[in-house]
Amino acid sequence: MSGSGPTSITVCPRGPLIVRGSFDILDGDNQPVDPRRGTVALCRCGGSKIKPFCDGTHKLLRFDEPQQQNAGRDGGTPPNPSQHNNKEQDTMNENQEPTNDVSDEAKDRDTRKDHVSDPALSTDTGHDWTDEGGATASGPALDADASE
Amino acid sequence: MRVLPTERGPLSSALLATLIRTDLPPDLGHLGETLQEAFGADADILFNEDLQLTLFVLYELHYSGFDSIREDWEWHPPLLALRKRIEERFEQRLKDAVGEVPHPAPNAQAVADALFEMTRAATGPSVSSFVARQATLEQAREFLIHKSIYQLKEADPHTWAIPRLTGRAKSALVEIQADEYGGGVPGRTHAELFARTMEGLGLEHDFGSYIEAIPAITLASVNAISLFGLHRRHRGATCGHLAIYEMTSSLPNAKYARGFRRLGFDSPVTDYFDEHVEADAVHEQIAGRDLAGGLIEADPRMMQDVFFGAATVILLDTLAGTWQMNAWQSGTSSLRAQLQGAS
Repeated sequence: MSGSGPTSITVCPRGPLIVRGSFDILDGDNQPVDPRRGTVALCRCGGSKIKPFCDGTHKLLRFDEPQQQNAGRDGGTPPNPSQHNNKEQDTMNENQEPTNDVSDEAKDRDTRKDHVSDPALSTDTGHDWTDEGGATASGPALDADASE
Repeated sequence: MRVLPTERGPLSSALLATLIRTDLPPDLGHLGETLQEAFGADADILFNEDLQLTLFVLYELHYSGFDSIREDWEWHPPLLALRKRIEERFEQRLKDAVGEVPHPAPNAQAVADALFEMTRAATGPSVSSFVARQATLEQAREFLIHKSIYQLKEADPHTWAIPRLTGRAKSALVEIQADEYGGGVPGRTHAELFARTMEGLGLEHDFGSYIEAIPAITLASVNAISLFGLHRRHRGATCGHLAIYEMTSSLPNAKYARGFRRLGFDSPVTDYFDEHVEADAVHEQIAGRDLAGGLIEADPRMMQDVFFGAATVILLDTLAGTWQMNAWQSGTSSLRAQLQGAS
């Protein structure tokens, strides 16, 4: 059930390949893979549990970060560095609390009240759950609990 | 909704008593006076049960409405005037809480980067991790009940923005919404997938079935989307709101799927979450770059409103998530009334 019209592939910086238009996806045995929607995101980081599709794991893996994606790229100007832009080194680090970086502490304090909560980025035990699956019935969602 | 909810204070009481009338009186001055008293009570509007329920009921007139009342209340001027006054207070509260928002370069990729960065910088309680690892069956039900007040009409508030957009942003929103509505296949809308999840846990799944149980802060999070969606001037906020919704969806939904499997459920209960892992990994890219980014690239004046809408999601998700986690960690219910009828 892909879309119609000319096919395009968008390389999302630090993210998946977005495929639009008319296309077929075939597996290694030349069997069709149901795209299930007109436009798909194909995993580029290698970490997805629902390959060939993207499941957002590139964010946990910090795929292709930092910097080189932006240099000299059309439309690739990074966000204004005065805004929130120096967080990239800490939000994904495990065991980051308590931070001993005073400026980070102040910033966290400032932002905690209002700018909070992407549950996906939680830092609680084992938050890097890329090995845990859970998205698909065939994944290790059920048996992973035994190890906790 | 089939029935009007129960009052939660003087203003909602006066409104509900008015809505059952059939004569649509042109003067509803008493509502304005009651509202003034409610404002005077000085409770935080985000947690004010009376005000949030009133606003929710006024907004619902524009969605599926209420079976028991006249449909032409929807555009009755005194009710619109009342709604406007509550909205002004609500919006100001959101703006005060959100504060400064990012202002990246006005091109699509920079906007997408800044939006993704906002989700990374957020540091709230993780409801999804809790559901994945610890939630009891009863807490999982509560989680679904909170979500139901939006998810059973998922996508509808953002759809209001389609006729207010043009070009790349409009195409992006149509592309996302078409997927939200199941690509036109009956029974596959995300709202219907969510209904089947609720059904699988023995819960009612008509929209609004659990309105009595839902606290003000959860109503505030859905009222905010209606505020943005129903006002053309907030088409930017609607786009920013949707972008953050999509960007904070794939990873948490994988955790929710995991949690419900831990509790012994599988398809069709988990279909809703599995679908969102995959769909929203597509949508977040489209919403960041083509929708929000495309909108700002075409009209940089949209910048402030897009990021206001984005920041509002992070604010309200945090407050609603904190509300739930505080209750669960202290061993109490996060709902207004203990669940009844669900064994």
